[in-house]
Amino acid sequence: MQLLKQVVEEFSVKEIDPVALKIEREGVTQGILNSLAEKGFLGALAPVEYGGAGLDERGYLVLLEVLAKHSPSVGMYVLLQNSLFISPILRYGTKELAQEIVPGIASGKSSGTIANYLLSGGKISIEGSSLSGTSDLVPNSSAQMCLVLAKSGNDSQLVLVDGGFSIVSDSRKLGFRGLRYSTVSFEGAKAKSILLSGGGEREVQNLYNDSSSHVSAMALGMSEAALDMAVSYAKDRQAFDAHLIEFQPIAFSIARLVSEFNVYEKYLYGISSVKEGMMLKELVLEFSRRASRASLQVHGGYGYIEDSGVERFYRDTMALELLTGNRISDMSELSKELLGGESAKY
Amino acid sequence: MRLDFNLPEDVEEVKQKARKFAIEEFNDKTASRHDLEELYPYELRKKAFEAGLVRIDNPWGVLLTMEEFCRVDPGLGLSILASVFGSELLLLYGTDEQRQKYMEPVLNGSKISAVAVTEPGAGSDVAGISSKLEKSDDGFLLDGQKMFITNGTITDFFYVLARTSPPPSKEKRHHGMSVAIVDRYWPGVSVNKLKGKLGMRATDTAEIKFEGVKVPNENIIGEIGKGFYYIMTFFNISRVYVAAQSVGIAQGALDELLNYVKNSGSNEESLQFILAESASKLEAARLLTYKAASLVFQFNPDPALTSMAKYFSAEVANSVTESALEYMGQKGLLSRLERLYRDSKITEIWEGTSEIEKLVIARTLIKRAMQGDQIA
Repeated sequence: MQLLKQVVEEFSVKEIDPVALKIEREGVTQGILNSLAEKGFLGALAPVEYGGAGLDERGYLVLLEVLAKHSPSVGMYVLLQNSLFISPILRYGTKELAQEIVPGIASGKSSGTIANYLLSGGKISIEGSSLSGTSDLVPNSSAQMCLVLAKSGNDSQLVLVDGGFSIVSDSRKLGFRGLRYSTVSFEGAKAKSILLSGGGEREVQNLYNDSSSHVSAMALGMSEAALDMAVSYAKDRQAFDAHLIEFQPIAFSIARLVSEFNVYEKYLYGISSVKEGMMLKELVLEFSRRASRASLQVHGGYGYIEDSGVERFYRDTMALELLTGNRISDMSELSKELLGGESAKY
Repeated sequence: MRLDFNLPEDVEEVKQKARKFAIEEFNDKTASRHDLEELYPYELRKKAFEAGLVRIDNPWGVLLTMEEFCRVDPGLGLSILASVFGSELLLLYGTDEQRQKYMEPVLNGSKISAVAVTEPGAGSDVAGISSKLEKSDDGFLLDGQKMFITNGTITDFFYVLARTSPPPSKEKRHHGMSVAIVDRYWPGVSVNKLKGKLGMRATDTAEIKFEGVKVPNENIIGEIGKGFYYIMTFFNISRVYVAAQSVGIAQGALDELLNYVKNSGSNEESLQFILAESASKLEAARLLTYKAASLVFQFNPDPALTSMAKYFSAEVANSVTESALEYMGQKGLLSRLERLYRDSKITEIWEGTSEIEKLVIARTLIKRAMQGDQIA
């Protein structure tokens, strides 16, 4: 794991850092996608026979944490391809489908996304194999393929759509500006494959629950970057004839955040169940916002400008929560997991 | 005795007028465009002046207008109201000639002013500035650099804080500074717009360079060497307006959340608690802000109270927008809450960071305790 961390770290320093700000302005480039693919990161969770890296869960967490530290947008892209696209295809699709789809994703020739009305509140329905309706805030909306949670009568299906959907309008971007978000129309699109013909909502919620540890790794990577920047700025910047780090309120605040980071990071790599991932996610999403806000505050006006690379963590940590879950349903799931099915009804 | 929390009728009228103006003019399309493209709202500023909404001779009116404008869109609202930024300096310490020449055109909307205090190497630590006003034959020569200056590229002139003499000692480092009025178009003045701000993107922000700028004697405000005190007095006024910005932002976020609950029919108790907590914090911030403002507007400011209002309201603006956005989820991301969340952060930084406000509060209280005064 140490070795993998070193590999991803070196990769990020060489390939991502020089273009990290450009990615924010112009998007994750094909060049970055190619180098991610070359390293096997785009198909991190896919088995080797599908062109993937076949990383285990822990290795995948390392990958996400380090990528998010250097570019939250790149981390999010990899999470989207793996946790929310490749994973469900491997889990619910046939072997043939996986063989057809996954190698293209892993090689960066194709890309995928997910439209989930549980988060966006859009309305997509399916009759036979024909889809209709639109979905807001579809991430990486220029992807060729999209997993769609669609209503079918009183039930819901999870289907794969290969093309045939179109972008209606682009959405404003609080965070992960290297990705495109759009309102997407599925009017007239055809399902290429029906992964789940019923119970889609429950399974999609499970999919997000399962990815809680992945989201936590992202949150921790961003927190680490924000805190590293706060520490070095506070050691460098002077006010009132002293370095900022010499002042107790600043030192206490950063020291506490660094402590929290270390405790959470240790827990992350010991996670052995979905429940533990969900517990950590509940803590670190809030923590990462607090850490990035504190870092911005230490930087003052300088942290407020995009070029500093500080303010994006303030935006991205909030966007992480909103794009990978829903506060009330996530907390309800966690409550039921910890306290039983009767809990958190009202 | 009776504590009356009602606004006087004329102030209530201004408030309603400001609310109406903001709702009509700051629609989401306009606000989004100015935010995305970082455009200063020249036209809206003109309209607000024509509607009589920018009048510092009616400070309560300006305070409530600030609140109502920021409630709808902080970037646009602030851009308009900050176009008279710094006028209080001349109102308090200027000569009649200075007021006539510089302040009056700003107050009637034909010119824009800016305050230039912060430098690349000195923000919170105002006395750490290094810009210099050096005596010359017929006035002063100004050299230095200023940073994060609101209205920097659109202003007609700056109120510049600079050193006229070195600090006499480490303890007295706030001595020896003066405020000069410097025309934006004088030789040696160059401005550079800063782009890519987190929030308040309709406002104009710039870095400024002064290189051997000739400043005539009559452009020095008040007494030489007292600049630090003038600026601190000014901050005591401007901070209550920042507190009002925060109150407005928090109210705007609460409006969005209430609207969401109303339209979605959500009745989850977790959401109701967020609503209750947010509304309570907001009301406390508002009362604190009005109390601090009331003392400032009676020319009897309490620096501790002003700093409490500024710090506390900023924190409330940040926490209310954060929880509203969190609980509205992607619906919030698609609404103007996304903007309010980004706009709220600056209230903890400008006109004195929250850290500086806390120092002012603590030091004022300690000083009073040492003097044996009663702590209010």
